[in-house]
Amino acid sequence: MSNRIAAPHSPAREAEVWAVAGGKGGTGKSFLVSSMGTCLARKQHKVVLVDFDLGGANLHTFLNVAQSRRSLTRFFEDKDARLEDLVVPTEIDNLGLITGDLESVSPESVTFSRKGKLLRHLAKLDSRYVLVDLGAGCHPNILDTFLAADKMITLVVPEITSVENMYHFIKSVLYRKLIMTLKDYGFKDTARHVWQKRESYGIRNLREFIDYLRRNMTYLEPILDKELGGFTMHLAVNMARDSQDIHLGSSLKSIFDKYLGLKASYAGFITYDDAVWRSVRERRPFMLHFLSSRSSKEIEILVDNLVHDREIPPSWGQP
Amino acid sequence: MSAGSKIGADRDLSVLELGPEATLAQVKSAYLRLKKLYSSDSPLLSPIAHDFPEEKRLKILLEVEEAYQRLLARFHVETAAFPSAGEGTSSSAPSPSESGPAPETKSGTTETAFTGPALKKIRESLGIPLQAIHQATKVRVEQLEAIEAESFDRLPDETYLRIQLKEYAGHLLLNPKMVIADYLKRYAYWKKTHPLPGR
Repeated sequence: MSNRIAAPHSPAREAEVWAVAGGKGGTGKSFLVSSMGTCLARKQHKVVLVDFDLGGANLHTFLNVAQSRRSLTRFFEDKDARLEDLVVPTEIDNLGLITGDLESVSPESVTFSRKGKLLRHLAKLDSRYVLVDLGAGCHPNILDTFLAADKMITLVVPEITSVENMYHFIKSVLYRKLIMTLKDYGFKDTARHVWQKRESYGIRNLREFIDYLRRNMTYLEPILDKELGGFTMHLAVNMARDSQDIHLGSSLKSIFDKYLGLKASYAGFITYDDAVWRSVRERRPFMLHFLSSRSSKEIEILVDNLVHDREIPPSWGQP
Repeated sequence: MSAGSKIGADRDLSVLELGPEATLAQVKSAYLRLKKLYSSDSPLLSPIAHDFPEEKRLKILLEVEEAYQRLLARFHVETAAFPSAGEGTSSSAPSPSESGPAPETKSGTTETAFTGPALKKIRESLGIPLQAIHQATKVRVEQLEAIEAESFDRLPDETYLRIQLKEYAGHLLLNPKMVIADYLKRYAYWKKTHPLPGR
């Protein structure tokens, strides 16, 4: 069938990298990445999924792919390994996968230079989209990969623990972004010092920290404006059970804006669905075998919003 | 309407997280949503409350309230003037203008970033007196003052200045290389334009 062949991908064009994280484990990151990837591949885009959850990789299970010997670990252990050689096919046309490794490399062996190389090479993979599944937590490896992505997507479920972890994650991302930006301008250690002694400077939070730098190190102002102004966090809510859960995305967007001065965009939500659980148990990729389910339609909307930089309005679901 | 009030209204609408085309019904619904979200018993605020003082929440509430009242007054004036353009026209789709063009930042020429006055400001913001730098680095206070004031005629030769700047920058935890490169660029320019008499 000719319509299942992906449009030729011009190698001059870099792949768009989407990274999915969120701080807490068990929110459905791997499910979301595998489903979004399937959705994009079905729209005739070439897609590669990358399992960067080095401690608990299981993206392959969602796609019914056996754990590959050619996993991402190889990239970190073998200096000559090429990222494109690690891509294994899936049963879905246009969809490739770089698996993680359950006997994973220790985070320490993920060296700074190797990590930098990985981030550069992700966008050079021969595909239109590269979707990265990041693990739970706030390890610098996760933060740096997240920050290097073209689209930073955070996934949250309507539980206070998940909101808590996500808030912590977003603060870590913002702080890391700030420090790495300031490093380029010779300010890293000064800023770190101010943050560590923040109480003596009357700084209570990240927002006041940024304001303090802006006020006292005046020439940083245009730099901070430029680097932080163009910074957008995409939000997605998983396992929503009622309209209040759906509004969680709009509420978090508001809180991030008003408290942290961070621009967020609410890309979409997925309602709680037993079909998801069934698809994992039966090892049948959700977006292939449960197409008529409500959740799969919501994932399509979510993907569409992310592709076109749209969001769902705060009034969603209200009369 | 005057251009000024239009900008004011846009600002009020953005406080309510709405685009410029919002209808009265959308304004009301946004107001109720935010009042509830930022109420004292809002569960979503508990993780963030640890970092932020209570005044911040109250300030947000006040801003929302004031923006709403001003917008309400505006809508009433407009409906009085143009009775046909009332609440009925709520057909405006979620506008893409929310993600409108980001304000252009002033092209940040960071070439002369580490100027004397900028360094002084950084030092003061860190609460470090010149005397303390003098004690730690043995560079005289008058010399440090000259560096901060960019009194280039009171500064030593480049070789010594380099050493002094390195000590000074290190004390403020700044990257000495960048400070030196920046500062010396200005120093060199001054020297070129102020040739020593008799040389």
